[in-house]
Amino acid sequence: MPNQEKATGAVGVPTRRTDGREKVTGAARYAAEAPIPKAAFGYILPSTIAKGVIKSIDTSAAEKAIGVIAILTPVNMPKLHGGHSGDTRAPFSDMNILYAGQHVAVVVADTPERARHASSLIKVEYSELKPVVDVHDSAAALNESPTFFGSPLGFSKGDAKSALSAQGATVVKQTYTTPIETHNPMEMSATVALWEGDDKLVVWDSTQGVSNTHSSLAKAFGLKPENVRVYCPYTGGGFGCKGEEWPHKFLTVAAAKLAKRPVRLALTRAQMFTSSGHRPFCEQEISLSAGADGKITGLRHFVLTQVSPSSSFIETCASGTSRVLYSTASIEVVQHVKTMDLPPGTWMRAPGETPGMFALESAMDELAHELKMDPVALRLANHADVSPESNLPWSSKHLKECYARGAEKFGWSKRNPIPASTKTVDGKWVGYGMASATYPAMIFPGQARVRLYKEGNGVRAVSAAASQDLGTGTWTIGAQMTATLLDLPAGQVKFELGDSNLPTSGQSGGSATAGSLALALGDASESLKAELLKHADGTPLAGIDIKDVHFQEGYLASKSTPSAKVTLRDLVQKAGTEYVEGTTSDHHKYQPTGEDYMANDGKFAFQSFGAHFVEVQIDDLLPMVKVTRVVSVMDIGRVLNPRTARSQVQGGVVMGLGQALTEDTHYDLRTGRPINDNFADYLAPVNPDIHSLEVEFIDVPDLHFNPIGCRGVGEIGITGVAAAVANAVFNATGKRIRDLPITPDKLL
Amino acid sequence: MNDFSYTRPSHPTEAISALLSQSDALYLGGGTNLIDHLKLGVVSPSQLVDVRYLGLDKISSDSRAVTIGAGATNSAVAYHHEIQNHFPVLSEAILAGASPQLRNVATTAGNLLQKTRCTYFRDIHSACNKRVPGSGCSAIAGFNRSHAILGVSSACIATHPSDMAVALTALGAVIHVQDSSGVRKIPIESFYVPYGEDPAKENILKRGDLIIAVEVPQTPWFVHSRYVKARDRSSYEFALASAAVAVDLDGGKIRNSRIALGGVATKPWRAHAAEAALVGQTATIAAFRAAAEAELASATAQKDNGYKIELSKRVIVKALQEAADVRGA
Ligand SMILES: Cc1cc2nc3c(=O)[nH]c(=O)nc-3n(C[C@H](O)[C@H](O)[C@H](O)COP(=O)(O)OP(=O)(O)OC[C@H]3O[C@@H](n4cnc5c(N)ncnc54)[C@H](O)[C@@H]3O)c2cc1C
Repeated sequence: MPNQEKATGAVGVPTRRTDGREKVTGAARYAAEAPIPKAAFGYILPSTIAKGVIKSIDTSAAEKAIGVIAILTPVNMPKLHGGHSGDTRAPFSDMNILYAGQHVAVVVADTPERARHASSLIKVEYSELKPVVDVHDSAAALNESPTFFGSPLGFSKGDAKSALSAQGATVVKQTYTTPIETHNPMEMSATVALWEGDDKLVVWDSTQGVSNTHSSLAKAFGLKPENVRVYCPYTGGGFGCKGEEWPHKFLTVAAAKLAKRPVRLALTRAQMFTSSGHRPFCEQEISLSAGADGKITGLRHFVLTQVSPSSSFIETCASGTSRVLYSTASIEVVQHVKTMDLPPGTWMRAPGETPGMFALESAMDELAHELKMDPVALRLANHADVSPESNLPWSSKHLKECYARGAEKFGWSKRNPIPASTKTVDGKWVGYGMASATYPAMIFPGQARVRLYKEGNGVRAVSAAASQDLGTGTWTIGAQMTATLLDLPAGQVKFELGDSNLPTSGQSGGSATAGSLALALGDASESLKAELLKHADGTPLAGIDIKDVHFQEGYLASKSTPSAKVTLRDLVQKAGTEYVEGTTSDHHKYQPTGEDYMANDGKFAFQSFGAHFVEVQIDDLLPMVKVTRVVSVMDIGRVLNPRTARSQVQGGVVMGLGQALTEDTHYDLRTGRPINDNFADYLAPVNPDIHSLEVEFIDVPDLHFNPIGCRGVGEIGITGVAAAVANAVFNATGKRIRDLPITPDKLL
Repeated sequence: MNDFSYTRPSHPTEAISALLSQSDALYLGGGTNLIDHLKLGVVSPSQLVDVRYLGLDKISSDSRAVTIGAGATNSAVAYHHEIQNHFPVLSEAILAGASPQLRNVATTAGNLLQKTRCTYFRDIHSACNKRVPGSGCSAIAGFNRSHAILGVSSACIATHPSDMAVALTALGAVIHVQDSSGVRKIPIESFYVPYGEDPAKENILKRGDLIIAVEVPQTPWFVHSRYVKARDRSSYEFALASAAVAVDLDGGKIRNSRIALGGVATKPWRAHAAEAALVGQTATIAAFRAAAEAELASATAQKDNGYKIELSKRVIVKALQEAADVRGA
């Protein structure tokens, strides 16, 4: 019986999401629905101009409107003490307008409708300047050597210049452009703030980082960390736009103080376009040179992208792509940025890699075509056996298997290499395309705890970390990992998250949640082992070396002398306390300091890889691209839960299809306002756009990375998809589209 | 959004007098278009007169015509057996638009009168002659990839967004309009008016006029009718270009045809030039293409929508191919 139960919940078992039922029945409470009684409603008034200065804000009519409780503006905003991010300027700290949609006032009223209506009665007088929103506008300030997190973005290895101009080499040199894309998770960002007295704050926030939001709010409002509590049991998708501490959070907290009442504020869909980031526009020129054998001799990756006046975020297209994917003798990366009067950009699912892989993997397909080489063979010929960037060996890499399994499953061998040569019986062009996928394995330092309680005849384990579940399955895999680490049946394990009072966690970004939690939970279970052993006097384990002890089906047991074992229940009983707890020994242990398992430990390069194979069909008269099949094979280390992992890759592929075919945020070049800031005009894929999506995993544990062997899976799925589609479109029609999205007009 | 009052009359004459009692009252159908505009501040009526309870949701037929009540939902029309069988183009056009949820509440009259999707019309901070006559047009020098190439004026280049109206235009539908003095019947082609100086004026309706029904004449060869829509995604998206066609074939020769275009014109566009070019022709792709060329000769492209000229020709050819069952090469 216990074994069967275990089979439903341990690592590697396709387990249903523990929060699935609450979500589909509506029982799950998202931030905006926080159970805080008597909360008033906040509504943000956004700027209608993109650049200029607020000359005056007249709130008199709005104050008199029915139901209005308070109005927060830069005039009565309290001074904050830092903590904000995303938009580098403190919210409401001056009268300058740096982008359209910038928040100008927050109206608090007794109903959301009244707050919104009253906001329309506020008269804001601006002195307006002409915004620069076109990257090719000569008025845009150019920075030719930007840094990101203190590091320069340029990179060079070998002599790419000579290689690219060498006689006899086959050279591809092309420019690829990707538009501004906007995350648009289903749940709009929301914050609910409740002050308990002057110095205690309770906040429900839709965030990708419960602990980050907690420390940011404490800092901003000068509160003791223990007096601030942040809850986020569920996040309705984030994709990066909930990873920074955006202005609306601080404004909601300040508005609640002003209104002397809890305030509930949710961004509208239109405000989501300007208040929580986007993926910046990118123009990339890729140059590749190769010999007749397909070996790449030179690779140059030039990136031009945009930053905003109040943002330090840069889309680093080459960092996670051209520097790590292929074994080439020379690499040169150059990145320029231009400052434009647009809202701040931010992390968006595989930031850098997503546009970067579109460019690099399109160029690889162009090279394969020039060389008359199969695209998979070209990639194999340039397979990087060690990291091209650091020359370190990979901790674990199975990209060749991804190509082989994907090609086999897809039927790649049936591809006709001659473009525009295959049609269906009903006259549609058919094309096959492929691309690699890649994403680094990262760790965000974090803590966790594991508690063992007596229950019935056995024990019950409750593990916890502040953490958050973006809809990805953190609730579920947290319990699975605990069950595996303690070797207990799933029914005896619970995992808790979404509360800043729980042990501090890193944010859910960089696909780092699973791997970071694995480390923290692994460490906490080691600590639990030590705590339990303290009560082993008079048992067969008395005096045993901890290295010889493991959890085994409800026992703590000796590895060398299997008969020496004590039930966990007996040990908890002997402890005489309500529970026995293991915690991560030292928060800082997980900083990248050269320890084993670190993402840059000086011994290994940690990176996930994969491959996408795509079939498109395109009517020759009405060239709307239909992606009829996608096969994706991923090497993400050990698969914690095939169901949730598959969902992540499928979701990434769908988002990649959006990038490939429809997504494009249009800013009016005259006003700097996004003109398609709604779901009817900003086109994400709908059900009929999605056909067969098959996902497979290599599933080899990466034990250099963490004791479970898992790397993250949230982002890799989107990387390479747009290139695979564009490559398939070329194979189908002979038309190479280097400017996303691939809309029908570009194929006429 | 301003406060407004709401009335729910149960008879057309009551609805008409309720509307006329307030100078800025508006009829409310399914609300899928109007409520958006209320929220965006595009219109701020002081009263809404709900016209869904007037008993106007029936679909009836006789040997002469099928008559669709103004309140019949888009879904009810699209899935009506006689419409599916006699006028497949109408059913196809409706089902090619919006989403099932929207079609389940959207009404026939509301669909005919839905406003353009031009983003500058919906954005009250932009100049728009249709929303505020005389304020200028932001689209002409703005982003105009989705805008019209036919029937445009220097005041406006907004497209009429409806798919259903395009099919009804091809089918020569007649709109029944009631006012305080009675009912008049207006052929759909004269119902929509071309944009002149005042693009806010989209049709011949005057204040208080209530659409009560749409009549589609029974015509045997309308069974050979198709709707083809090119768009940026497979569903839930307005047309980049669409064509509603019906063909009357005599052996391989075209005796008669109906062609209307959507997504490319300021009103549902009856393609008379294309129809004329087809009379007496053998149904071939070359003849279809020539007809399409004839129609689009008068097109005017803007900065971003030049592709619509070619795309319009292709939707015409494709729709004719399908309606006349002519295979491609
Ligand atoms: C996201 C989205 C996508 C869409 N996609 C498409 C698409 O692809 N193709 C397409 O064709 N449409 C599409 N639509 C538009 C949809 O078809 C219209 O919103 C709908 O048909 C309007 O009908 P309604 O009854 O809701 O009209 P309402 O919104 O109620 O009214 C529209 C107008 O008609 C007037 N009115 C209503 N009834 C009468 C009457 N009896 N007499 C006189 N005036 C009247 C109202 O005063 C108002 O001005 C889409 C809409 C949305 C929101």
